[in-house]
Amino acid sequence: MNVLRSWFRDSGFQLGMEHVWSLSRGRFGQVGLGGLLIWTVLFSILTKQTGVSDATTRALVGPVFGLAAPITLMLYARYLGAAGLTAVSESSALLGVKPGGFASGALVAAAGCAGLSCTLAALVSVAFVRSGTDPALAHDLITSGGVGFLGGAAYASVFVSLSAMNQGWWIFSFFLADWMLGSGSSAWTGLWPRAHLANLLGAEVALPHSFAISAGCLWGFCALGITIFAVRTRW
Amino acid sequence: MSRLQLRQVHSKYLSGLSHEFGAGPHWVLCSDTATAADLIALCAGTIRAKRGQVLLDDVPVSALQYRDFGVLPAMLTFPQLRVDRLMNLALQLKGATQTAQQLLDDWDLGDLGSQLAGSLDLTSARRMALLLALATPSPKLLALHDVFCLGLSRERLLTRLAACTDQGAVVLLTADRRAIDDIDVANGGFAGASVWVLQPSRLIPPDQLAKPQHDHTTNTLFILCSDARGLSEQLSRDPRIRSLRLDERSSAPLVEITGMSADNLANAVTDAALQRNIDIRHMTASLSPQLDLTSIRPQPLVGPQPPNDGAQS
Repeated sequence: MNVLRSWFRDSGFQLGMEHVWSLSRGRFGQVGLGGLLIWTVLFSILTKQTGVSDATTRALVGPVFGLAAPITLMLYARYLGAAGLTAVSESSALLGVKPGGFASGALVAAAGCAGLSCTLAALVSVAFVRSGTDPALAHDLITSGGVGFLGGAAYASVFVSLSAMNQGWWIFSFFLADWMLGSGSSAWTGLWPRAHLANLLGAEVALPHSFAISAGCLWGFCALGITIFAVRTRW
Repeated sequence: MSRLQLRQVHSKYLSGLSHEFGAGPHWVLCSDTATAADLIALCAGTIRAKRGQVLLDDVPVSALQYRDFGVLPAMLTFPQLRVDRLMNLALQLKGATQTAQQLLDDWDLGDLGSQLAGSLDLTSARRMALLLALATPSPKLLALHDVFCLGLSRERLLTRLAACTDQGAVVLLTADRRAIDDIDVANGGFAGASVWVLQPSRLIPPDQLAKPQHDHTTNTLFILCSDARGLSEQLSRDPRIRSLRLDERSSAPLVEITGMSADNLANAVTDAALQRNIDIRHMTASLSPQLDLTSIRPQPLVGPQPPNDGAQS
């Protein structure tokens, strides 16, 4: 345990997590989370009022995880990038820790913060939009919350790692491609987080994958983002 | 005795540089900050050369232990955590016995400890990095950029650097080529510091350098003001300023700045003086040997009258 604790501290992982947590709980984080929740409530109520039978799925797949969450997380990634996340990671060598370790910790914290925010958004949406035909409340909350966490973490990992390369254009391009191609039915659909998220939320998509594979793919996006960012910061 | 070797090093600003620095102090004068920063980062192992090797005692610098070296880069940004916490972590990893607060108090920077490191201005962040570099108990290498431009006690800096050279460390100091006066002062404290001028593929002694053509694209301003240190701190963040030097040797500290355009330099000084409530007493493009700076009466050219609570640090 002591060895693990020493590695956690000396590799820079802990510092990276604390840095991003310190940035995320500031005013930007509060405003971002507030905006995400307000949007979620608003569009969840609107979706419910349409009277469709699968309102919960439609609200989560559409306004919440189709638009609100990715846009909020895009802005979050831009904010972290503008706060000099790459430069801070590289400067962490002056503190005796490995830049790659710092970068990994930072990205894990970013993914965690994003995941928790999206979990909250999913729970709020379920609370406002569910109807009598939906599964049991506890089951609904746990499933939606879990999927929300995974989706938020995946998006944040990808966006923040892209911010290390180019702050604006690549992030927006990914979002655009994910929106257009992730909701299609081509062979490329499975390459995008949106498709797997929709699959896990029970939407009718053309993905032949099981829930386990889609969940694995989203974890894969998280791991890919962390790896890209750590390598980019020259482990 | 440590030895720093550069073997056919290629980077963004270097093309096949090969040189060996023995134990002791070495000045390397660079044409601009970016080149100096590149060299410092290569020697400290914080960036990798595209080709070639940088070795310290025959070991690649990228494999150096943190307790073996100290580095002061030109640009840096620290995490958004308290300065004392970060410094305590770094000092622990260096094997230093001092605490962060002791170190900061020693250098009259005690109020820095409670601030967030990520919010520090560049000068304060570089001071923090310099203290960490100098706190290395038994360094094999110190790579420091513009070490005398941070407003810290020059005598104390020289004493500490001399102690490191006595321990057999390679002390690499980079500076702008116009910082020749700093070298004269430093050599008063060092024994036998070598001076080199950095070119992309070699390091040459200054006397072998061809006389430069008159540089039409560089303008210089000398400023006498009520708070030279404050003005230099403010100007250090201005992108219009190419290089900056604070001369505190006389009773009338002088700020020397260079840049591409005289208008931009003047505007930068005006902006900085207004932001910091500093009186500009005299501003000139050339220093006449007959000019007695101490006799110039305070005549504010910009900004309101200075407060009576002592703006000078």
